[in-house]
Amino acid sequence: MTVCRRISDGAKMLRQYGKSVAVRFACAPKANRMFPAIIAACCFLFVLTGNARTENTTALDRRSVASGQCLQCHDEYKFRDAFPRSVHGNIGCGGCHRGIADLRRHSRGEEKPQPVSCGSCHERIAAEYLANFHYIQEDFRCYDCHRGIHALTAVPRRDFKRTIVERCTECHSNEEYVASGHSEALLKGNQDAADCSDCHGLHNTRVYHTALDKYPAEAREFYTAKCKRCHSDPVMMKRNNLSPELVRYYEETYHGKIQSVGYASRVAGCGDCHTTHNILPKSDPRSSIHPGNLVENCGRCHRSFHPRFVDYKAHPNYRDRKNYPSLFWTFVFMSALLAGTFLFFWTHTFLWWRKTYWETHRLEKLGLQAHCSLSPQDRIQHVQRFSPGERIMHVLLILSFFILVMTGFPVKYPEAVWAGILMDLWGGAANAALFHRGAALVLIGIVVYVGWLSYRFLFPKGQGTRGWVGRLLGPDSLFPNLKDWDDLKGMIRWFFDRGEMPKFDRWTYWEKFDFLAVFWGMFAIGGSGLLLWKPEWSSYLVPGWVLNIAAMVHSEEALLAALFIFTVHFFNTHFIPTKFPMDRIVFTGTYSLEDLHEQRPLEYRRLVDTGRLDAVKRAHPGIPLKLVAAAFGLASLALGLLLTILIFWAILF
Amino acid sequence: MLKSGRLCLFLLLVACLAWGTPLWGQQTTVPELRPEQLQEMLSQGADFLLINTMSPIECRDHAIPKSVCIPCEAFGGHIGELPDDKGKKLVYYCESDLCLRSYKSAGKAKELGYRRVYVLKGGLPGWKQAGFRTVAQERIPRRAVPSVKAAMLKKWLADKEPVYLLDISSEDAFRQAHIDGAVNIPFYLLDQRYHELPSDRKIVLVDERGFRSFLAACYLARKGYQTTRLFGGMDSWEKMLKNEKRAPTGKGK
Repeated sequence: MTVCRRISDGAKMLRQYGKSVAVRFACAPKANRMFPAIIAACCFLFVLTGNARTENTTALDRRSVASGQCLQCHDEYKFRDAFPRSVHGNIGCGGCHRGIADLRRHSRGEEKPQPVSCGSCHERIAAEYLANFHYIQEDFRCYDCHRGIHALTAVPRRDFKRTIVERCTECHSNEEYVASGHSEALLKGNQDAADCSDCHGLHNTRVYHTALDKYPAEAREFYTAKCKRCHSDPVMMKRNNLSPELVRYYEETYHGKIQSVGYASRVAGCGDCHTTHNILPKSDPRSSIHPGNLVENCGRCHRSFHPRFVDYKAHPNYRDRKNYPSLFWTFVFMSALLAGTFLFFWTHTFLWWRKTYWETHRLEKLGLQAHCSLSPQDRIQHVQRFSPGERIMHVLLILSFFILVMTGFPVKYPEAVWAGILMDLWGGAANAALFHRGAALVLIGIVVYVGWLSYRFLFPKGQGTRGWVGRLLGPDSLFPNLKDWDDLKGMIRWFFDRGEMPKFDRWTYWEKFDFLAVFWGMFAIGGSGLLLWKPEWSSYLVPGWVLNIAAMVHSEEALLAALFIFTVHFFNTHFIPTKFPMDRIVFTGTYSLEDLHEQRPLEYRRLVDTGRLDAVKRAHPGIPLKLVAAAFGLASLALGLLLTILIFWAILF
Repeated sequence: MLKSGRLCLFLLLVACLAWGTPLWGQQTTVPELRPEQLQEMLSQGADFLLINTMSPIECRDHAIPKSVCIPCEAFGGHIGELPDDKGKKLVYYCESDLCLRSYKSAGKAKELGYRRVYVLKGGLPGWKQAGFRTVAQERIPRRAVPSVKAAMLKKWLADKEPVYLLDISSEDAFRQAHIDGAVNIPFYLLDQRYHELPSDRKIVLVDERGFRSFLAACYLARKGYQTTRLFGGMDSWEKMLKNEKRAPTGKGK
């Protein structure tokens, strides 16, 4: 297209300005009859020489036009000598200065060429330049930077970056960049080192280049992406003796995760700590990340912290035992905890399901029904298992737990497709953080209250510490005892058809584990969460590197808790074939005497023996309560399963 | 007890209103036109007056076609240039989407009784960003104008470098905040008063946000002055002072 235009322009000029030999000949009246013959001869030559030479030929003609026509008046050195040798020398004067139809009128000043449009050839650059800050705000045109356009020669590749820096610093006298590591490397000839355009763009310098306040998110995201582009390039980093993994380590921290999930304006990007221009190695005392400058550096975002706050590692590698031993061993411990817990409970769950399913199938096949010694009247009688207070607590626990998972996991897996969607649902990272903290407070409140109830259970009013060991290890306690160990062994024997199912009392061993796991979880997640809640204040208690550990513990323990609840707890309580799809008891608070008799025979016997059975008898729950319980329970189960799928999706893909 | 409850409720209501008021205050009462709408009006030859509120130097340098130049600060002296017909459409624009000159001028026009007053959304940069052309009466050749950052300028002033601080903000903006020792010649008067400037010193140009000082510096450089400009204008100066106040020492800040 461009070539065609050039040819037609050239031909037009040749015809119109016609003082070169060929054109003069063509325009002379006497030669009019010979013109078709000349054209035919030219076409023949054109075909013979091939298209490859077309542009050169045209360029030569144009040069001759430039020399012969334009240069007659415009005969300065830059046009006569410099221009033919310049990068644009081959397109002649008419390549840029178009639109002169009559040379005589032009020479009299009656006809002026059209404005020069560099974009007619440099289309991509012209399109990019429309969004350039220099054009939009300062109305810079091509020739304002590419000064001396008529003598412009190609810059050798090795000098390209240096030339850009020199050109930009004509106006942007940036002493900081000139003293930076990038500049030093570049001036020594390192072509990998960033010049101005590597970060700011060349022809597409964006508007937030100087308006960081107005576009904090776009600017931080844009510039961090620019840093990452080079610093995560393994070949380039290896060539320069730098680690390409640092970007990944940053992305594993809270700063990096929040940025990855799409809220760059809320956290520190690369430039916030390393500064934008004065980027120097840590060993240099002028560097922002030099140990002596860290308090000031971190202090640009964080307030009111103890100096040991800066011990926080911004790019920690938890796999590196030598340099980050505490983080490494925390990772090993948490991994072992997760692996051990899931290995045991998922196996337990699977074996339990297998046994129950097979057993149910056997009974169905034989047309048998479980024998119940209770009278029909007694069988349908409901008894209370959970008090209204306990049921409310469980509902609050469910709500707060879901909020915590749905606000926390997008940060844990920021790269997952669903993470950004979930964050947007909360109205952004700031809102999600607010909900996360609110839900955490509810959960902490519940645990503190349960702690108080446990204390009152052990040391009831009027009795003091008398008999507390008996109560602790008794059948109404949620504390494990020797019977639980026997029950566990009995269950395993039952799974493998080596014995009867153990007879349980009020609390089974897996229910006790669920209960106590919350206390462990609160110690791990709650403790680390409180440290991370206001990390600046935490620095008065612990050094900054503990926050790295807290972040890891919080994150891994959250995974343990979420997956445990959504798989093991859901199965044990709801998805086991005898209760599928759900057990409403935790919402209605009661179940039938038959269920009590079947599931917890020892408790039933104790109630009968102590004459307390009548005291726990309750009316059958009403339809509204059953409906609400079913709706809320099933919705919670569905949401939990959906979240499980999302978590596995993030882990596996 | 009941009374104190009502009092608390009332105070809460007042606090809510006080908190919400600035948000309402920010909402402009002047309707905005998108660049595409303006382009359509221009191409259809609609009967309206397009008014550039920038300085004459900027107006001559480049502007939207068919616009007239009435600097915001000189509004009072150019009332005669406005149409007699108060129902005629007026469209104001200025040099950035952060600039309030077009809104101020539009507000004054409304006070004069003009009923159909509009502001171009995004100003001249918005127009250019949308890909529409501008026209130049007398384009000022751009040249390399060095810039100085706020911290360096402060050092220059402390070292008593022989510089002349020229603040080209409007009189109002200058009155609100300026660097000690700066002299105010608003940009809209610069073409009339530039000869008051000393030629034996480097002139450091200061504006509100660093967007206008470049053109002013090019203009003065063409007149033979040695110029530098404060990068980021008074915005960056004030930001630097604010950062210094936070003074990080010892235990955080």
